[in-house]
Amino acid sequence: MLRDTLMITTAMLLGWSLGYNNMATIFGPLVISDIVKYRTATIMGAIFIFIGAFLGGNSGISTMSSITHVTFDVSVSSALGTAIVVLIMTHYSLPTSITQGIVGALVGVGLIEGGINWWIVDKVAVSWLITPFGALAIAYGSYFVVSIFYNRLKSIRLRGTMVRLMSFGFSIYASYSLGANNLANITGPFVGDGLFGRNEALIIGGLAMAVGFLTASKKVIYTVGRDITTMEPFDSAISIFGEGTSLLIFSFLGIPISSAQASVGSTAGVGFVKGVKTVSLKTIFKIVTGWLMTPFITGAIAVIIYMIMKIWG
Amino acid sequence: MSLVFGKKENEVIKLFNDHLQMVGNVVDETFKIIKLSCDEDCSDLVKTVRQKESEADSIRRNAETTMYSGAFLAQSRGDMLGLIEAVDKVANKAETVADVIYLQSLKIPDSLRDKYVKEYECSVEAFKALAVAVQNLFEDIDKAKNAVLEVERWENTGDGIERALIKEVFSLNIELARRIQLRELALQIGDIADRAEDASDRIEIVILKMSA
Repeated sequence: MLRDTLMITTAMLLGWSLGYNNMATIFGPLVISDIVKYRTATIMGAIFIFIGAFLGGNSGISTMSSITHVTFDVSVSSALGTAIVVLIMTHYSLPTSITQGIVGALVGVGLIEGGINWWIVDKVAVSWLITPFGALAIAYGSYFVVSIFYNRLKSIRLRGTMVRLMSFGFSIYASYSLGANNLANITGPFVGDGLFGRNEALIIGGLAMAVGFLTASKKVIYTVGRDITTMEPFDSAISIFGEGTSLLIFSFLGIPISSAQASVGSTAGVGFVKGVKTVSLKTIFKIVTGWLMTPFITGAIAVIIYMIMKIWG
Repeated sequence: MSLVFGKKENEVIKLFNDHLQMVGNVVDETFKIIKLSCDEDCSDLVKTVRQKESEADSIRRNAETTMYSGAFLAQSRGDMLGLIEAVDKVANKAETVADVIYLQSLKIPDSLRDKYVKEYECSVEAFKALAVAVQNLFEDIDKAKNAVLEVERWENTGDGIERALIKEVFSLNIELARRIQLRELALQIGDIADRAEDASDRIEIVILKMSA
């Protein structure tokens, strides 16, 4: 009973944090543009992140549960270590990624246990490096294609309607993709060795992320959304599409990626089309710091928690 | 706040059109004052100009309130607001022209009347082109862009007439004070077209921002 409670609580904490932190980047522009209300956005997002997690989250679970041999101690220490680091870093506005955190934690504990599947770790690491560039290429290409149809519309009325529908549709699509891609980060480490069953993992992870979306603060949505909406509504819609598509593609490949880095790549892609600098050196520095720092910190914390759990038996 | 271009947007567009109509009335009424012969009393016309200008203000305020109750994308509202305020400044300037004549009891010399009328006609045409641009902004941006070019063309023509007129005013054998008054009138009439051009610049910005 205590084991189940601990597993569920840890997974819920991670899932909530993921949903809470991503709500603003996906729905911020929609709320700021006054296309939907804040409450409608959180509810729509919560529904679609859950559907995404439930229908598309399965493939990534195998990846996360195969990084090392998962046992109760390994899973809880990794997930708890990641949750602690992510919550602290988010509190101090430091760049972080749950995806990179949980992989770092599993690798850290796996090093102690001595059973890491390096092929999977390498595959995941390469995907992280590819993510921003992939998102950039998708956003760049989509911008060209969609803008052909958009610019053919001679009526501002129709353009306005198209932007609204695109923003709404792409935000829902990105929520679905985020759920499908990142579910594995939340409950993936708990699947196997008599821990969570697959369906349990999908439902608990999906619900946790949905609660994160539902509780996302209005203030954060407006703050983050305003940063994104320095772009025109058409541009931010394409940027969200690029992020969502990157997440979906990697979810088909069963590799969880960082949504924040997909978003940065996508934004840069839109900027390239317009010849505008949308990503600063500071942002690139943040990405690199996220790549390097988060996995090592979560790895270290997870190892400490793992050792404590071992000592307590 | 709606997913499609809906009722509120249509309501604002209707108010934009009503506003254009009213600003057009102000411009036309002022034109009558210019055309009047020097000795006629134009107090009724000036009263009408003021009344129409005030009605235009009221429509503008109504449009702004409706806009901020959820019409258009939030990012576009500032541009739309800027546009209707820019159009409103055309009416303000036409009212100023009426005031320059009425408050100073300015008599336009018969020898110059046709030239003032011609200059004012350019401002009227610039405003008419602006109205076409605004009316087409929501339906056909190509037509709106062409109308914007037309505004610029009339503004340039008006500038030429204004310069020639001022030169002629200062060649007349009349008091310096009267020359300055007449120069002031020429400048104010030219400003109507300038303001129409400023408003048409806003249309270009709206179109650019709504393009990919």
